[in-house]
Amino acid sequence: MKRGVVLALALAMSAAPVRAEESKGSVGDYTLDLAPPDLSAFALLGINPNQVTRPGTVRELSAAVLNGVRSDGTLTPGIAIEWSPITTWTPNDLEDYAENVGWRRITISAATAADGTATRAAVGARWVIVDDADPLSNSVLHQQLADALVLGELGDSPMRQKFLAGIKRRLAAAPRLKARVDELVPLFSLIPAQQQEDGTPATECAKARDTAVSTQGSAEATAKSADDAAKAGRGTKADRDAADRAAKSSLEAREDEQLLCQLALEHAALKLQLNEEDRTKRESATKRIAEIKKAMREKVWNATTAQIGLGFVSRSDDSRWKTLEAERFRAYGNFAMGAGSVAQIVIQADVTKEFVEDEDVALGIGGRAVLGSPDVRGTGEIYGQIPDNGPKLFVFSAGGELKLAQNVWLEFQVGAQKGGEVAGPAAIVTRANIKYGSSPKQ
Amino acid sequence: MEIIRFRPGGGAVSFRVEVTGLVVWRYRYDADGAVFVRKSSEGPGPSHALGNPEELRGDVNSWDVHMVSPDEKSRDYRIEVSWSQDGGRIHHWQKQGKASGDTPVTERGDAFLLEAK
Repeated sequence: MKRGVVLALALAMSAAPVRAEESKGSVGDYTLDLAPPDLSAFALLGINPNQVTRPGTVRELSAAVLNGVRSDGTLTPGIAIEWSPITTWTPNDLEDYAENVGWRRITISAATAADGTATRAAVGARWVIVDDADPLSNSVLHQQLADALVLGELGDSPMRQKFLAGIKRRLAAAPRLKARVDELVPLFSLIPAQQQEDGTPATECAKARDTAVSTQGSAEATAKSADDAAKAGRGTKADRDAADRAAKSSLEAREDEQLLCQLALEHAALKLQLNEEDRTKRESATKRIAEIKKAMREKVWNATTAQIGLGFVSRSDDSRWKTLEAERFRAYGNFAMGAGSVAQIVIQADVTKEFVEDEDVALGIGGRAVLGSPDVRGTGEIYGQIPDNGPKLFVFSAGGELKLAQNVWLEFQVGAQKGGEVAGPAAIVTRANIKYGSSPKQ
Repeated sequence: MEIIRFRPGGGAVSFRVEVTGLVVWRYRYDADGAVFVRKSSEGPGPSHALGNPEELRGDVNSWDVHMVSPDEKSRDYRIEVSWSQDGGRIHHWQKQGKASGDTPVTERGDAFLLEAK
């Protein structure tokens, strides 16, 4: 009854965020939000009904809180955290990831759990040697995404083609303008950014025109002055010719300014148009990318993965740090591989060295079958441990894993343990834990 | 808009597009009369020949580079387009930014190709 209440509470509390998060939409579609792997320190503590650790893609930070109850009514709350320090300390770019992928797949973890009046604590480390689900090393995914980007490509945008052809034609027809083409660059770079905000192009072009008009006015005044002087017998023909040249030059400058303004404005209009076309195209590419990532997630959730790990467990009978004593050391290796699209098999071999009492060394081997999908799955597990001096231990468990929200998972198990230090009938353990794996958005 | 000036008596002009920080990208470079397309899964972008100076005078080129982060993390990217003639770089164009894991990013530019003054 008691354990039923605890489990029901854990499930109810965990279920609440599901609806709220799902209503936010499809962020999860854009990621490969695979379940955080089993935290190795929890496995080391030996408080889980399941003894086989399922390997998985390393998260920068993972955490789990656990609550459970044994058949004798003892509660065993626990908490664990796992961290990939290299991921935190190295640059956030994929070249660096590719160079340091081995290091990035090393994690360290710590866990603690109550055990009646005593407390157990564990520290562990694991190294994921093979991870076919890793999206950052998945060349097939990269190729599919690169192919999808073509949907966002404007390609032969008629407006762009018209602009490019038009500007080339007009520049060819106005060789004088080529000498001033450098002036276009600041105009071009200025106008698109500000056109939508404050009508700057009109201001800039007005300034240019004002300058031209002012220059022309000055030249015309000079010409008129020279003409007047000539008429009054004070000027020469050379003065009149110079004034004419100045007037013509001024006129050309004004024409050039107007053409420059026109080109710049057309370029600005093109940019706006391209941005609009780009928005539509990008929506299409974004949708396709989401589909690809979703399909890839369904394909790789049970991909081949292998890891090795080790750690120490300590125990304090009065739950004080000072009285912690080393209890055992464990090293393990796991191999997981897919079976079709809905199943995965996990195999584990481990060795445990006890530091207390008879200092046994025990060899363990077990397997877990996982059946389901990326977001919901059930598990069944069998595990046996043979000590060199003591009774054999057998553990059977069944459970499931459910994605509650982006990066948040609920895991629950019911297990029975026979043999080992437990005498008499099989001990039954029920447990639920919530796992979180970070995926920071920057 | 860029102005790319090349030596009229020099050799062929070529360009290269490099994207760093992201492993998934695709670019399209429209030259007058030719289109160059490359995607990341084909490997790093090679050097593309645009043509001899006499063929390029007054050309207008444009280019689009599309990128996306393969996972959920936002990632920094850097694009560099560089134009070369006779083994030396005559112009380059750079853009930097951050690509999110959910939406593709596009950077684009265009340029006049003119003879050096």
